[in-house]
Amino acid sequence: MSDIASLTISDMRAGLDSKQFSCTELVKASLDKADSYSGLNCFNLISAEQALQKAAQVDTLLAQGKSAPLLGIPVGIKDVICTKGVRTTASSKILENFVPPYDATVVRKLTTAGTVSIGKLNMDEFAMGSSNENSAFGPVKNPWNPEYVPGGSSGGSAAAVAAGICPITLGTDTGGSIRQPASFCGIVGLKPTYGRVSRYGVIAYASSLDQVGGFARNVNDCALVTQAICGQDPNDATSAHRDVPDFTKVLGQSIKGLRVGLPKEYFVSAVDGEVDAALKKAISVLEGLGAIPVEITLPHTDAAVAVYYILAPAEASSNLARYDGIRYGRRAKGNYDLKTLYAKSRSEGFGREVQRRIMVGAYVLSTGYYDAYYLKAQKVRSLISKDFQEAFAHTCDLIVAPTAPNAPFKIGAKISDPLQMYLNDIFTIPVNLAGLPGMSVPCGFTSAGLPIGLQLIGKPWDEETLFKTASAYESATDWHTKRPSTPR
Amino acid sequence: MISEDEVEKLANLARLELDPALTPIVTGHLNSIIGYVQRLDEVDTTGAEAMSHVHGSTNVLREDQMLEAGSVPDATPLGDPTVPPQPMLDTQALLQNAPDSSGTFIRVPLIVE
Repeated sequence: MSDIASLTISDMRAGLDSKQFSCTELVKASLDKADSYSGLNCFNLISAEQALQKAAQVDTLLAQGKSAPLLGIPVGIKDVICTKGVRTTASSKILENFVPPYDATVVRKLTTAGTVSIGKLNMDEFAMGSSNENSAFGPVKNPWNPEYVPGGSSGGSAAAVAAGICPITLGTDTGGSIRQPASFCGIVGLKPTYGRVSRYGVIAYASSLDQVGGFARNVNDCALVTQAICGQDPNDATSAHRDVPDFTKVLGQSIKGLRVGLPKEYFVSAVDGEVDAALKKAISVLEGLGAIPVEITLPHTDAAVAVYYILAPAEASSNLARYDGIRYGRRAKGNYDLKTLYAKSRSEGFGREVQRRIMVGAYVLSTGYYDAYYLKAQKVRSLISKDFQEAFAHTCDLIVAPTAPNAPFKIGAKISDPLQMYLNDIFTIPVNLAGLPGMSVPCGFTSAGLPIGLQLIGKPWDEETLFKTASAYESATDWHTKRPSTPR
Repeated sequence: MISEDEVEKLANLARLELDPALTPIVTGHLNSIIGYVQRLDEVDTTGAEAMSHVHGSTNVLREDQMLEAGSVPDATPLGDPTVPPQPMLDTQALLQNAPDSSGTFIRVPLIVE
């Protein structure tokens, strides 16, 4: 049989419903593909047995004539999201043997929708990183060229979709961790509005910024996975009481008259020439579809990375205090007093970047520095948020920008300089600080054949405009049809 | 500038044990990060409110429920009755991940001399 694992969801749906292939065959194809691409190191764990069991159950339902949009669709889950009975590590040694006794709400929702999870996807440890090089289980490689990073922190989630192992995966995005790897791997990724998706069962990094979202190879599939995970959850007090619209309804609608804001602070010399050229082309495509480009200003953009690297580490230092080697997770071996046991367990368990951020967090929260760093950053955060509110109130319906200032870089190129790595998230971070929905869609390739992403930023709760615009753009271009070459 | 002494103090506060050989490198990295974020000094924040949460956080309260292990709380996500809440866990399920346990307890090192 041909490569059914890399079909779109609608083609999988048609194949399953018309009995062209069974769910078991589809899941086997997906598992085989994961195996043939094992060199990419996308997965921390492949749960073949559970997947085939679930596939058999789905086949029974299909035989009874049952159907649903995601029934029988293979998926992968970022390893920061708890899966009942399936090891969940956050790519950290401190959780290397952690088997959650419960499912995250998003996993429960996907399972109820009928999807079949084939495994847990590699990532930067505790979602801290922009290149997937911070994993305790080794870096993920970019399917377009394995010498390059897939982006991070959801690198495994993006690479698995780009390689055609499964059509959709879940990731999380705290400062760009869905959009930047989607850009680097040439696929679609959406971070919904903060509060749109439950964080229950998602291992916390920076709770005021973390949000779960989906990856896919086209806009329709991204809409389907997003649809399945949204909604208020009594187990997450920050999930919002808001009705979830039918995202697929807006696909294919006209974007005539839509005002597209181009922030002048995002089109600057720091942006790589090839990225800039691809972006300008994409904007003219949108214009050709009837959208109206308008220049806007987001004056506090330049402060966003600094704000993020105060607030996120501060929240992380608090969130990660729970890993003490006592109740769960790694405990250092040996007879130590309690305080030494904490320090030994944590130092053995956490990788360097995680320790670095915990220390930065402890520093900015400490007496004497709190006002100068933490409080100041919270104030600038509100200014960044206001910049977006102003733009949306008066000038534009959505914002278009590069997802990242550059195309994928080589593995090892930035790992020794944390600050250079942080600056890679300069265009994605403001969106998290303001809690807005943001999306990356493929918009071209560099001369070296590496993907470039177009970022769409929406008003709060307005994922529909992002889907509508992305769908219109996709129908006018063929970037989403490009695939990396042979399995490795 | 953060000194190596301060970095060691910080590590102690964060319950981390620094490899002395790496302290200069860690100090260098922290200084480059803290040096960078100091650019916020130049941003005028007169009148700006401190923002700790996107939508303004309010307490979400509910009645307490007494539930036996295995029973299901009566809370259903808005607009999604197809996803029922998960049953309450029993102590054994929760202890499975404990590095050291005895009966229904987690075993810890001697805390009070």
